[in-house]
Amino acid sequence: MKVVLDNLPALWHGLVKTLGLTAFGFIIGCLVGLVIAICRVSPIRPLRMLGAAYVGLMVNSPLLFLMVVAFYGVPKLGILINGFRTAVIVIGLYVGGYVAEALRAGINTVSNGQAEAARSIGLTFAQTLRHVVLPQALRSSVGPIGVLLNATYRNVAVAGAIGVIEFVKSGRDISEQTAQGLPFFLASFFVFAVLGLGTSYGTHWLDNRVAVKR
Amino acid sequence: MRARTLAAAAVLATVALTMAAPVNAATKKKPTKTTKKITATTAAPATTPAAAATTTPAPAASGGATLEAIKKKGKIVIGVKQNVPLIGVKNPVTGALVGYDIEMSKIVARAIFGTDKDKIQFEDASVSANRIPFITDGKVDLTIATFSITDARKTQIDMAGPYYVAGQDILVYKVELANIKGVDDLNGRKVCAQSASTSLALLKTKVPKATFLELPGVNECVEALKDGRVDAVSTDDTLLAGYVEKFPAFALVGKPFSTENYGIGLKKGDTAFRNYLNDVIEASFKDGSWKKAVESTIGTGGIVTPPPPKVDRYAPL
Repeated sequence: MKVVLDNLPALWHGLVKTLGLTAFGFIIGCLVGLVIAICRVSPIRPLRMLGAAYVGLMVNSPLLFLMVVAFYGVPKLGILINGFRTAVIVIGLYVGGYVAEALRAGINTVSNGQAEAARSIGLTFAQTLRHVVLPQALRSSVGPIGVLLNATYRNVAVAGAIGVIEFVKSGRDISEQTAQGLPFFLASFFVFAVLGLGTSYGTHWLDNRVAVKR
Repeated sequence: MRARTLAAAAVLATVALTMAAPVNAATKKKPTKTTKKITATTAAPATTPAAAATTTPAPAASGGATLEAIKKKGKIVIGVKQNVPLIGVKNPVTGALVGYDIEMSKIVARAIFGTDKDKIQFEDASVSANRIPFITDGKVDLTIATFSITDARKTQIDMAGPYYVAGQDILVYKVELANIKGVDDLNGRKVCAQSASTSLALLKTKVPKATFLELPGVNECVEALKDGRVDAVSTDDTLLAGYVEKFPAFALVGKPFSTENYGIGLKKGDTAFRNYLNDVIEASFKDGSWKKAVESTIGTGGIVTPPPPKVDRYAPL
């Protein structure tokens, strides 16, 4: 364990990167997911198709693939974005696909009758979403979205492939330099366990608090 | 519903197609893992008296039981890199291997059998960490795979040679040659190196003021150089030469700042066979086949053929 303590500054630096990638990526992901979910339930067909295609692409592409394509592909279009920002955007877009699915599932839990009732009193599609459907849908999506947040901590390790020294990469680099693997695996395990359990409990608490009491 | 699915599929296919091109470019070659150690060259004098080796292909040393076994088998099994341009790379269509280490393998085979045709069985030692186990497990007779001679390695295997001395060099755009003349000019610049490599570690001590981009392999670094993410890429000159050959806009700075003694790995304790291989290497220095091998491979990537190294006939550890 001493070797881990000796390298705490480097690991801490990596952990800050991991948390930053997760936070920024997840926020973008939630916004993208909301937009896409609305597209998928909208009355306009091209928007529904766009939403379906987006979710299909994100859910079926390996994150590493998206990351590498963005990192080496986007500069060919004349736009140079550094590794960290590329990673944040890609993680955001990727998580967005999953959040959209979670929200759509949430929207489906709201019975059709409610939307019909809203329309019958003259609410527009936007008003129906804003005042009737989404408040209920978001509440029932808290659990699934919390699980996605948990997955995001681990997924951001992929950013190591494009030169972002996040937590897992920093641990792996130091373990190669010191020729000691196990202490770093244990340390990573511990950190992810704390992050994961924390998120789970937080989600659970929030879920209970906002649940629709039927 | 059906139409919707079809439309979605079409969009997906288009996106996939447009994405396919850059991803191929980025991942075609797997990262080349080069474990590099800065060699503390043990300056052991050439002690073997029989090693005059003035005569061509037939070396003086007997080669012992190993050589006899290989001759009896009718072929020699050699582990080589198969993903490093100009060193050892597989033609994806024909499956034929080409490169400097392949030429060295042929020199060894010619010395043993008189011909290299159908006498070599190549094993894939592209993963650097496999090179020692391949020898200790008997999967190969030899490894010729940009394998630096180090004291640490000598404790597990024996190494003949060096048959080439490589050095860490810098790859830049030709137009940058005026600004980057040596490693010191990298201070304040952006440099890419393979992550967790000793190339990177050496750079960090030599030019602490540079900004480092750490990518999984040398070819990813070259991609980053093309994109303008970094000003330079640094690793062994032999590994960089392949990119100069492919992309003429690149050039090597040409001031190596480390010493990598490439050797031929073989089973530990087999001194008779090691002496034989050292004789073969020295004979190739003399008869011009070594020079030809260098010039026809890494030479095409802008490496000027160095004088042949002095073979290190160290006493068995």
